[in-house]
Amino acid sequence: MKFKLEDLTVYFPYERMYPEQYTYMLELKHSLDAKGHCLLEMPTGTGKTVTLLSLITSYQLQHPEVGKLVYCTRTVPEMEKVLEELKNLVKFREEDAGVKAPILALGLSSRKNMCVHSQVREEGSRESVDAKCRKLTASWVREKVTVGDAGDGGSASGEGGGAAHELCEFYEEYESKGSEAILPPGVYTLDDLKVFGEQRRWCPYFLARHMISYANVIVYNYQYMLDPKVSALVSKELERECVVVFDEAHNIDNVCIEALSVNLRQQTLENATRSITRLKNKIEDAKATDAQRLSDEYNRLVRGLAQQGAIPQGGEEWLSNPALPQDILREAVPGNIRRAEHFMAFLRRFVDHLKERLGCQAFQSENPTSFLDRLRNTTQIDAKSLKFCYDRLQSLMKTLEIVDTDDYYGLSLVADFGTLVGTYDRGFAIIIEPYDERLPSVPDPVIQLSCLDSSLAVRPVFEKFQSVVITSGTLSPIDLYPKILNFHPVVIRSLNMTLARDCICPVILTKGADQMPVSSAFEMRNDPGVVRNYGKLLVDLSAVVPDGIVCFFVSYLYMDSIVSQWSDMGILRDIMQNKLVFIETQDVVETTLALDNYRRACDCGRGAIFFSVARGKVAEGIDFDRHYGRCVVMFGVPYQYTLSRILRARLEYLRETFQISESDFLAFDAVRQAAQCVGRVIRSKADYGLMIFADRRYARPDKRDKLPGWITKHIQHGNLNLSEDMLIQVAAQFMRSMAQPFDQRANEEILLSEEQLIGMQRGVIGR
Amino acid sequence: MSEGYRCAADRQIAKGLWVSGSLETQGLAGLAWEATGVEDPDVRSKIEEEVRAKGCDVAQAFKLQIDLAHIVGPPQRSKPPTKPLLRLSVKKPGLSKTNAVFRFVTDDSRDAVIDLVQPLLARTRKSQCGGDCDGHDPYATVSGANVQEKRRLLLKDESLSDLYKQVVGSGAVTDQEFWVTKRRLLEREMADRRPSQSRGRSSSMLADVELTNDGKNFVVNFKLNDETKRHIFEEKPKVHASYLANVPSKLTEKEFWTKYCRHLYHQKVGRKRKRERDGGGGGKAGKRGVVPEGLARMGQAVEEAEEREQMMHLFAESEKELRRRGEEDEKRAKRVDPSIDLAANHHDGFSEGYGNRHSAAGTIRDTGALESSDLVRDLNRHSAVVVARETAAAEGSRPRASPRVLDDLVLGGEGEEEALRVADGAGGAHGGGVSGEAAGNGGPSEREMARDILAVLRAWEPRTMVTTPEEERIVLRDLENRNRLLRSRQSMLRAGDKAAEGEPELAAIVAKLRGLSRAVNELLRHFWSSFPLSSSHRKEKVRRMNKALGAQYDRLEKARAAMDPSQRLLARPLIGQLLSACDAAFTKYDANLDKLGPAEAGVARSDEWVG
Repeated sequence: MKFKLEDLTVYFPYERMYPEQYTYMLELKHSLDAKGHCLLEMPTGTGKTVTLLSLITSYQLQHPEVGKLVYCTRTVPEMEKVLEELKNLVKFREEDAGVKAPILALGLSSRKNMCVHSQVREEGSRESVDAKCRKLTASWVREKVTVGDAGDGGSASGEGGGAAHELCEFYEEYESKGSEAILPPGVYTLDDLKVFGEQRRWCPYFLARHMISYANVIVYNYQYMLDPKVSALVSKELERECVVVFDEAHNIDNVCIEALSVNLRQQTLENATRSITRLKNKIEDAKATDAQRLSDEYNRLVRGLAQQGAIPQGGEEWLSNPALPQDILREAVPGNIRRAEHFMAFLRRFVDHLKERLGCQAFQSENPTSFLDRLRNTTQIDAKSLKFCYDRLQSLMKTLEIVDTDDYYGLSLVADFGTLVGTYDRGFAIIIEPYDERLPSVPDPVIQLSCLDSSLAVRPVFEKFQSVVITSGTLSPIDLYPKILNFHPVVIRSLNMTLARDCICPVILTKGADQMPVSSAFEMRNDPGVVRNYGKLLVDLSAVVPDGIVCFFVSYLYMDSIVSQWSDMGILRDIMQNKLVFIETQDVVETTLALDNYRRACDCGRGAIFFSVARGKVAEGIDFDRHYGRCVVMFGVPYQYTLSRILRARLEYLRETFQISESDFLAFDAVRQAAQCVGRVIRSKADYGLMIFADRRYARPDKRDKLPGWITKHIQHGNLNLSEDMLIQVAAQFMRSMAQPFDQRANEEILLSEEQLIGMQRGVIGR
Repeated sequence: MSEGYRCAADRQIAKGLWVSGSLETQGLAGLAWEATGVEDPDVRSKIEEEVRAKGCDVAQAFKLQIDLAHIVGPPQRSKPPTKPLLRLSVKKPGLSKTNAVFRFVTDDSRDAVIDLVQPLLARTRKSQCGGDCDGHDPYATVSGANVQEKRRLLLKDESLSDLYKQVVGSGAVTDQEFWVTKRRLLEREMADRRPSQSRGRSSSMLADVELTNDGKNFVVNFKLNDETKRHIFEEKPKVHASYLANVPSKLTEKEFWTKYCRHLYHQKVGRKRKRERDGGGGGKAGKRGVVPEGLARMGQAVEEAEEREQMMHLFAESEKELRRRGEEDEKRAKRVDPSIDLAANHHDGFSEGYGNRHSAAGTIRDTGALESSDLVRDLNRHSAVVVARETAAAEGSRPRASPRVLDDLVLGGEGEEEALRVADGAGGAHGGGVSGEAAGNGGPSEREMARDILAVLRAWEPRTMVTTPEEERIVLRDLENRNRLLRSRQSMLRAGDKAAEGEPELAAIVAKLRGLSRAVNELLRHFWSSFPLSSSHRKEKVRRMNKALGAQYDRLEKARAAMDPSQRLLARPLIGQLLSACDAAFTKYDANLDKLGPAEAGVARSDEWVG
């Protein structure tokens, strides 16, 4: 449909619209009009993505001064879904206008996901794909091949060539086209880009990177915007007028923290030491063969990092600016690290100091100031030199023409650690732990530079772009986000869901069939009675709920212990009488296959149960809609491990800086995760699902009130304090009522048609 | 006669009430059961009381005589884990069917009774069936493979059943010959049945080990049958490889599986111990870790460790194998739906070293520390194998209706329900059934199909024509003539049908003629398929068919003679063609008399004469 929203013509690719979608568009438009940021919560399954895309692309059409739409998603599957929705929308616009819409939209991901080179893409890890790609595409490698070929009178070897320096034929073909290598208008998912690249023999990764400047809509991962190392590469050129959307942003604070946190382990430091030795040798070689190069570098460094010159295309993006404020980039590199040999000695001292600190037997926690103080006293390394560490290293690696960067990952991490610790004196903590407290028997010493302030990473985004939209299905309590992200939205709104039938049924289980309380609280966690009651709940549910059931546990450790005990108690065997069992593991490939098989089991009618972990990869990005999830069980309250030193440091910081109490934050964090988990089963209003909060603590108002409004609104009074046997009755009744044919007419009463929307608009104008 | 066999057998008088006794086979007379140990009046009265309480006949509770002629269906026996039981369904004339259930002491005694009764039962039934099978099983002659399917087909298809009775019941065609011509029908029947009959794989872990503790010693129960073994091989390729490599060259079958069982047991116990150790603190672990006293115990511990090592070698995958499996999994993961591709997502996240390690919110990095990682892997693999079988079975069937997200925002988006499949009616002139076209279930009509074929042919534009235009014209003319004939016959048949409506007498005649016509057609098919007369069997068959055709010819003539002129008019299109077809067969028979041989020819001639 096409309708007027105030003065804006909106293209919406469906014939009808939910009222909340209309309100959402209105709020979004107001924030775009006011050129400010906004924070919007709308329940899952109400078509948030298509609403966002419709309004913003329509706004772009009418207001050409508005820049690109930069759509940030948490996961690649979400990215694909957004682009599919956009395809639908563009098709509708084209049909309406009768001409091809001049929209270019594309997704961007890592090389590992986009590479089409037969050998490079087969590399195991993302880092090795990156390194292999650089080996084939770095400018000096290409120069060498060109010079060598000129000498030999031959041509550059192609994909399968066995020469010492081979090139990537896709990149070469793309480069040879120069400015002609552009994507025609359209919507390109990652697969579409790969297909296009293979057809034209152009590298899809570099093509996509290049096309970002021409695109109207860009869809990529959060980190391309939030991680300073990556955003400087891909998001630096974006203009201020862009509209940035963070979808599924309920965890945005954690992503921000991850982007600026570094951990150093024993292996990392060992690798760093080896890298230093290797670099030293290379410096010696360079001195002997091409001393001029080092001398040029020295002169450049005297002038300052920003004057290093434009970075040429061709895979050297790791040479670009690290997590450094602009003012630092203009400064000259301190004298003590300008010479390569001096810098090596500097790094060695720093790594040795870190190794010594890592060797301690007790936990230590300190702020950057005291860490730097101790560092200066023992090694004479000052904060200012440390600030330049990352850039100095990258400059040196460029000078030495190093391509196998994955071999130097340890040293890069150490340099990044140094830069961050030298730059920020607030909002960070250095925590040294000899082992993970949850697994005291496994030694795993680590120096953790933990970012405590999520606003540090997101601040440049709020400052740079005029409109940033933060949205999700679960942002309750919504007033906490402006505090922890330290920004001032012009619109802040939490919307509700209109339903023609009660298709969601949230219930709180507080007691087992034996009337004993159930909870994942620390003191009850290993009680066999609780474990058995949880098991019995699942056995009984597997008998009354059709198709798929999803279970979320509070942590991997808890799931591990429960699964093991259920196996001994024979509960797993009983469950498998009714349904198959699949379990999330930390191996992404195994989990992907388990998910695939789970879906097949639901498709073929066998039915299955998927065990997953709150805050895990499945909880974040996988939908269990329709028959893939007719019921979701949240076993326990997914609190973070409260004895964790990192968490304690963060809580302290939040209390001191933002006046957020520890208990409030912990409860907020746990409940948002729980809400996110149970929301996985509802992806549209035609869908239905039973949501079970299996812990007595959910019955308490302080937890319940933190759940999003669209969930609490549907909790019936009688379902607030159920025992297991009563719950099974409720479940059976709910499933029976939902299995009745759905009367579309009831739904139509709440939907808005094009005529109604036009009528509404006339009413507004008339008034 | 040595047919009498006597053995102890309890009889179930009512549900839960068994009376001990003895069962005796009495040859063709049947079976006799008598209660034993009820001489004591107290015992007897007690049993009588119980029988009365259950509402059963007291007189029959102590003595039972079963006539072979009253036994319906085959004797049924219980499956192995249950006690040896025998059930006979008895139907006495004028009474409803009852069951007589006996419990034997051993399987052997039960089987001995069945072995004696079964042939006698068959003989009795055959003699009963004798000439006319009315009142008895008309399909008793059905034999060979797929008897159940054949019987089901006959029961389902009335016209086929009628034909069977006419041609096989009369002895003109043997059962085997009959089914040769009905092969396709049978195959279709079997194909229709097969999906519903194929057994899915059990969801439960078949190879799970059960530990039970009776207070004195641990008992490990391990159920293993062929299916379980196959399942284990599918789930654990390493076990299969070891089996192929070691059995029977190094280990016997039993030794191999015992080792495997012990391996599973150790795994399970190891998990339990690890949890207790982790949860219960160092005290308990210390106790278990104590070095056994004395050399003997030390030696035992070493032996156990060696055995465990050997079992690990046999059943646990090596690093290399795990890596290879990992690579295969990775390839498989690339083919999954992008919306669940966590691997792609992983490659788009933060690099190793960034983020918080030992994070309160994050994951446990070292999975080796998790006690159930083996169990989880096994569960996932087990479920994957079960699903693979299920998916393979479901291939080709229609996918589930899958509404799109936000489908309620699309106008008229309600047609996502699975289409109801209406089975084709019996079709033909019998009517009643709804034809595919009339049912309007979306299938293309014949006309549409023909149009499609024509369109394809036109689009094809063959360069060299296979036939000349002249040949085509001849064929088309011939086809047209035949079609005209067919159409006129069908229109007459339809007219007959129409006329028969509302007139039961006429309808009965039409039905009878149809039955005769089917039988004649069947016999003719057998007759013509026997040429050339290359074997004695074929010659014998031709003679048999000729005789049967003669008999049918007679019946047809009689039927025609019995009709009044108006009926005869309606019946003419059927009878006339049948008679002329029979005439053609007789002419052929006469022409081949010399090949059939003098003796038999004489018989044939006399038959013909009789006909």
